[in-house]
Amino acid sequence: MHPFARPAAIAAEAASRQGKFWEFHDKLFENQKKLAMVDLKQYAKEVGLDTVQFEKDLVEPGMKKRMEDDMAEARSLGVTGTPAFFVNGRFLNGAKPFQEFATVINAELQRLNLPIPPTANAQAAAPSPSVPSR
Amino acid sequence: MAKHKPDSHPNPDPELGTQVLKQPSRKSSDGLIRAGILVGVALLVVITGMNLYETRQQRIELNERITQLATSINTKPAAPAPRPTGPDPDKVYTVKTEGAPFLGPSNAPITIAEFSEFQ
Repeated sequence: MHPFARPAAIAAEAASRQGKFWEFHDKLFENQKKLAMVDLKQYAKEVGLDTVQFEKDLVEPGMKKRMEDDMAEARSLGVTGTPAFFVNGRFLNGAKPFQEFATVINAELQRLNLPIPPTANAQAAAPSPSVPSR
Repeated sequence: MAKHKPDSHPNPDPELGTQVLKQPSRKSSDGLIRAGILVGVALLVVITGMNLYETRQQRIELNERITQLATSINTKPAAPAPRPTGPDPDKVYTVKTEGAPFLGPSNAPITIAEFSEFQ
C-alpha cells in the first residue's frame, strides 16, 4: 500500500461522514500525485467540508477502523491488489475494459430474468462462457 | 637382496658346506618372498582397483542423486505457480457493503463492489 493511501482513505471516510464522499473521492483521483496531509485538508476545503470537523475526524479512531475493516474484508475475500471488483459477488480483477464488466453484468441480468439494456447489449452480445450459470 | 645371492657368496670353509647345501632351500625361500611380494602387489593392485571402482560407482550414484535433487528443486516452484491467486472467478462471494458510500439506487438488481485505494 502506498504511504499516502492510508491517510487519504481515512480522509475519504471523514468526508463520507459529512455526506461528501464522492466529491472528495473525485478530487483525490484528479490529484493522485498530491496526497500529503496539507493537500487533503486543502481538498476538504475545496469540496466544502466543515474543516474543523474534518480535522477532528482525521484523528478519530472510528474513521481509521472503518478503513481497516474494509481492508480486512478485502483480505478475507482473497483480494491481493486494487482495483478489485465484485459484480453481484462475482470477482473481476483489476481495471478491466468495459466489455468484461458488460459481459458479467449481462449474464447476471439474464440469470435474474431482467431485460438487458440495448446499449449494453450492443457492446456485449453474448454472455461469457467463463461465467457459470447457477 | 643381491648380497644373499649364493654365487657371489665366498665360502672357503669346508665346515660351512652344510650352508652350501642349504643354498637351494634359501633359493626357494627367496622365490617364496618374491612370489609373496608379487601376490602382495597383485592384491594391492586388486584392492586399489576395487577402491577406485567403488569410488567411481559412489560418484556416479552421488551425481545421479544431485541431478534428482536439482530437478526436484527446479520443479518445486513451478508446481504451485498454476494455482490461481486471489478470489475464484467462478465463485459467488458475499461482500459486506453496509455503510459503504454508493452510487445508484440502493435496491438495484446488480451491485458492483469496488476495493480501491488512492494513488
